[in-house]
Amino acid sequence: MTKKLAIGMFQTGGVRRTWNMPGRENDQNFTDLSYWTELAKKCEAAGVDFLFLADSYGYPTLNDTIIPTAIERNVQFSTIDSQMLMSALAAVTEKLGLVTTVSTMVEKPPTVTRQYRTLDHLSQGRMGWNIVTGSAQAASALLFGEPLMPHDARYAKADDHVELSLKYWEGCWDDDALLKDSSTGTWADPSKVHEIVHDGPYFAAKGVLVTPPSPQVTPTLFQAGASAAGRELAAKYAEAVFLAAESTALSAQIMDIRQRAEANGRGRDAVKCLIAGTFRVAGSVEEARAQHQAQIQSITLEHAATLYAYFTGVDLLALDLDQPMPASAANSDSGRTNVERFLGPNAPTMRQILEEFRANGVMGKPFLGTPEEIVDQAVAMIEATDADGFLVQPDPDGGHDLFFAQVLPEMRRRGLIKDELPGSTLREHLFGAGQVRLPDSHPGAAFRRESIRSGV
Amino acid sequence: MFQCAGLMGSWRLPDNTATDFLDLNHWLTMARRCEEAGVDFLFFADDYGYPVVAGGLPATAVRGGVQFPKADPMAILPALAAVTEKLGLVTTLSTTVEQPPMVARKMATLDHMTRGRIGWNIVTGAGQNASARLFGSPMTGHDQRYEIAADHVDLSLKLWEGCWDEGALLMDRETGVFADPDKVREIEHHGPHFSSQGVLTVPPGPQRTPMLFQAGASAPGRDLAAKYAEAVFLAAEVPALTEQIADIRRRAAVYGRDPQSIKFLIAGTFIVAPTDAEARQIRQRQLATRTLDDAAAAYAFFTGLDLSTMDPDQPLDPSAAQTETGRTNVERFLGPNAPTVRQILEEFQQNSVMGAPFIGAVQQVVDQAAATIAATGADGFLVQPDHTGTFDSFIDLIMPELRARGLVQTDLPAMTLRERLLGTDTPHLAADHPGSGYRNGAAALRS
Repeated sequence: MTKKLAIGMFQTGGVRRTWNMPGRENDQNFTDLSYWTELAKKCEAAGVDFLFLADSYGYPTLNDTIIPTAIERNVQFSTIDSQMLMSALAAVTEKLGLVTTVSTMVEKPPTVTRQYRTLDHLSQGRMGWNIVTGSAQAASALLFGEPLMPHDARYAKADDHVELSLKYWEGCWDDDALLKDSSTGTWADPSKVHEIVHDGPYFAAKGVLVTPPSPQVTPTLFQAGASAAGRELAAKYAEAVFLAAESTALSAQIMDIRQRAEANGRGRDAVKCLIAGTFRVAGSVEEARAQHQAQIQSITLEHAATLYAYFTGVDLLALDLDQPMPASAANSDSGRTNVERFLGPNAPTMRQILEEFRANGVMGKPFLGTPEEIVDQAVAMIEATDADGFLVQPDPDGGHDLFFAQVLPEMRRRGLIKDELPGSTLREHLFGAGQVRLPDSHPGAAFRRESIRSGV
Repeated sequence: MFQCAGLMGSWRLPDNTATDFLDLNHWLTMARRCEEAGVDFLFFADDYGYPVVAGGLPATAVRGGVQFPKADPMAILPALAAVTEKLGLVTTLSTTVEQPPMVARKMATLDHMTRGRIGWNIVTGAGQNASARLFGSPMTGHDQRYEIAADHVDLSLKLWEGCWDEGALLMDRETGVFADPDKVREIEHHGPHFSSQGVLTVPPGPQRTPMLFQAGASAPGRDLAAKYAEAVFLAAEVPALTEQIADIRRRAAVYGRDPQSIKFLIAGTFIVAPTDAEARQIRQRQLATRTLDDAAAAYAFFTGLDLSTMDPDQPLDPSAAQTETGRTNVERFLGPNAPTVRQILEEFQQNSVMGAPFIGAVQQVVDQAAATIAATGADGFLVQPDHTGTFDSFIDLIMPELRARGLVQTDLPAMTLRERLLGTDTPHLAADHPGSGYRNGAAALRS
């Protein structure tokens, strides 16, 4: 395979498992800023494309109340706000992309656009926005005192949000508006700074984003959430998508996204499809499998069920475990990604789903074995699914040291990784040197005043 | 030390570096400088507004860089936290714009990242007219914004103080228990403006609740301060400051709080040089860069009023005080001996909202500053940047004199911001603060 893979490192702002690991109890953990800056430096040194922080305001609930297991065992529970790390990580890195997750249900376009624009300046063009509607919607809605919005309506709102955000980013400042001419006392050319207007189904606005354009102007746009509505949003706006499922499901999802992107006039290669990769290295496949089994021993079925409830709102333990998932669960107004993957012909029983969650969380089966075997499996997965790269899941201790030491070198040895990250911005890392701005075929480009003036 | 993530000082002067406000190194340098100097904290003002005149962004604001452009200061703070150990970091978040669960989570995170040095300046938001349009909602009236603020702070306090008991976080390796489910709870809140049911997923940081600041001197603003603020930022002439400080202390006592426990910081603009003549020269250079048009745009930003349409030889019409945008800078220009519109414009041209500067050589400037503190009963200054947009002249010239006179203490060890400013031995809210009433289940969700 000659394709060069994009590699992103997947993290959440949650607790490191080291608190529970013998000999590692005193390791720095999620509330120490230096834990995060050290992690970023390691990712930079490894030369990967970006560090990716998933995030949510939710936690596992059933019947509108938090599941006690979530607190007791920390199942998708305790976290920090990962946006509150970024400038510190930017300060200790020069090339590493920084991708954070902000929900369109929680933060409004003026705040989202100002935050990302500022961070894109501070990082000199390395920011990415992972657009989500938000996992654990039930908990999040209660926290914010809002009614739970139905699934598809959330995606309609996300679409409206992204459109307005793109207007703020692309439509307010002409490229040559900023003058900073102290001799004439002219900061910017008033004829080249514009208030935008938006009147959408969920958002209305009239105003200007007061922060001047940053290197990327619009952060690199990611999306995660593989329901049909999610893929539609991705095909319209995303430059990269994060997918986690079994191989056949992934192939179908990726093919679907590429076809939709093409139908939207963006081209089949406009969206980088990055799949979850969990890498577990040992002296052999058997050894790796045994280690993996040992690691999941401490996860009870309650823990797995709590995790599943977090993602779907469904309480598997209340249902008949020897039956497949009832089809009605697919109409959940919580998350559908982890329901839809378990429906259809050859559907697993709910006991099997629980076991899957116990073993693999939401990220699917790990690659197991020696570095060579693992990379063989990884390459096979890429070829089978037509994916563009991996969002690498953490090592068992929550970091990436093992991957950097044992797997990445083997990938490099086989020519699977770019020798040097192209360009200096995140968009260039993914799309090649010179690709700093959204391409003309992206809907955001239509909001540029030059586009409007030339009637594009 | 007062900053905003925008143009400070006089950007048109060649030695002004505030034009680098989008460069991370600019802020890292500033934070390190402040830390070395031993000042108490770096403070960021913020808002989502900009001047609006005749329904749009005026050309003057764009050309002149008047309350425009701006960046997000909260985005800068994490980097500053990493390079400092003692310096407090205070940021402004508007209760009109940011929802309580977001404020609670971001501030709790920053409390951890700064090891307890974070403060929240509670505002309802300057430049409301522009800000409201940006968010696509009708502008909320002035007094209602303060009702919203009170409800917001109430809920935020429940989240910070009511969710995690002391000792809830166990991380017990033997039992594999992360936290005690009997000591972590969902709170509930059903207020006039906010409802919530849930738990703050960030465990408590060193301060639990960030140190609470407030700025905004209208009557409802003072009430909010009296109820919740641990430190208050004021900018006005000496007689007004004296009255505002006394009034807020009085109101605090009515709320059952120790009036002396609130610290008052007043805007201090220091134009200082080795000689008086040099200081006056700097002042002249600075004034030469600002026009009356700039002043009108700035005034419109703060108040929503367009002075350029009014008779320059008359005072403001008293009905102007009903402006829904911002009242602090209208109320200060009303009453007996009210200035004319022209005089207001000149005041804004010269001093913006921060009042008259102390100008001169070191000794006389420190004399004036000390006299102001004595006259007003204030506890300290929020120091404005100099014409370069930095604090270099203050740190190099004034701080040594303040130290020599025993007016500041700069060799304190690292501690939380609350301990540093209030001189208490607890990093947590005082027992007479309403937030402390939410500990140990007082705000718990009743199932």
